[in-house]
Formats: sequence, structure tokens, C-alpha cells
Amino acid sequence: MAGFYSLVAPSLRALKILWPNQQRQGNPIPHNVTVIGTIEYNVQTNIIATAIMEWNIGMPLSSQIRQTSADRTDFAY
Amino acid sequence: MTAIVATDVLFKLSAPNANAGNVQAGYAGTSWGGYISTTVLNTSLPLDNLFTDITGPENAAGQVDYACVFVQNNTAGGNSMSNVIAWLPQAGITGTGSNLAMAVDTTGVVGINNTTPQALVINSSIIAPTGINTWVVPTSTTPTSPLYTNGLQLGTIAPTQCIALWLRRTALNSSSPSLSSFQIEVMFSTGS
Repeated sequence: MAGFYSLVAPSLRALKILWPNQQRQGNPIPHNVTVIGTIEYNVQTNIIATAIMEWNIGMPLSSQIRQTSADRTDFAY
Repeated sequence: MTAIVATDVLFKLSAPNANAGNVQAGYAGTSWGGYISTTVLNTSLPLDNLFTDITGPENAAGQVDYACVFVQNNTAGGNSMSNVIAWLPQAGITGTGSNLAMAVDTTGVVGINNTTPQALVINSSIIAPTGINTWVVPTSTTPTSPLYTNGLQLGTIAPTQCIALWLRRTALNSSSPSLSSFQIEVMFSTGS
């Protein structure tokens, strides 16, 4: 009876050593991966350019008034 | 199998006039769905890499533009991207001249070389893709299980597969010009 046990035990230990290696090959260890893609563009805005033109509307210059001997008109400003 | 790394995942423009996936180039400003293009989104020089600039008149009009971008698992035969979540992190947004939203295309996950349409198609940036009702907005909170609030659940993307996302940009009639940018973040699980 004692001899029976000494023959069986070594083979059982060998099976136990082999089994974990086979399990690692069949079940990969998962891990997470992150990938990033960058996208870029300009945002433009409308520009409004204005040009201001102005002038005065005023009275004629006194040098432009004609005076004659027949008709003389005085102006006051 | 080797684990997927970030560089194995590609963001690509779409080719609306193609008749198969991954055979035609895509172009910024006309990434209007249809098929995945051969053009990877330029994230090294991102200016105008998907949307073109918002012009002054477009800004004043509050114009809404749409664009399509594909997410591709660029591994020939490796692990799948599992439980894929796409979202717009608030921290990745600069500029205040526009609002953004994102949605997943109704076509779903497809092979990159498919000869049937891989995404909806529009023929102008101002036309909304038909049938898309769920749009998520930028958030400062990472979407997590079980609700993934403001995240898009894309499922599993196996090697040589892809899925289309739609971006919606709304000009805000801002009073000053600005440079705007945002980020699309894709999270997933993979084996090792």
C-alpha cells in the first residue's frame, strides 16, 4: 500500500506544474489602448472696411461776389 | 499574436467617389463618406486636415459642416480591437469659434477592401448624412461602463476592418477669428 502512493504522487505533481502554462497560452491578458487623432482649422470672421468722405456746404466766398456800378449789392455775413 | 499598439490604429479620410475601400485617395474638405480612402489623417500637420477653414461669411451664417473619418485596425493578423469607444475629450479642444459633435455611421464595422459602400455618402459638406440620430458632444469625463455617456460604442474591429465616424461642426458667428482644433479619442481593449 505504501508503495502505491509513492508511485502515484510524482505524476500528479507533474500534471499540476504543466496545467498553468497551458492556461496562459490560451487566455491572453487584456490591456487598454488609447489612440488620438487631432483635427484643426481656422475660424475666420468678416471684416468691414469703411471710408468716410465728407465735405462742407457753405456760403460762397466774398471775393466771388461781383459788384458793378449799375447794381451794387452789399452783403452782410 | 502580438498586442495592438496605438500606431496600429489609423484614422483615414473617406473617398466618396470610390467604388471599393482602400483604393482611392481622400482629400480634406471632401471627406464625405462612401469608402475608406488610402489617405491617413495628417495629425503631424493638422491644419485643415479634415475640415477646411470656416470663412467669414460661413461664420456669420452659422454654417454646419459634416465630414467622415474612418478608424481602421491596421494589423494584418493580430488581435482585435475590443469594446471600442470613441469620444471627443473636452481637454483636446482649442478655440471657441465652433461647436462639434460626433456620430457613428449606420453601416457599422466592415472589411477595408469591401466593394459595397462602407459609409453613408453626402455630396456637400452642408448636407447631413441620412439616418444618423445619435450625436455625442465633447466631454471632460471619460466614458465608462456601463453607460459610456457621451461616448460611441463601436464594438469589435478585427484586423483589416474599419468603421466610419461622422463629425458635425457648427460655426458660432464669432466676433473674432481663431484657430480651432479638437481630438478624436479611441479607446479599446486588446490581448497580449
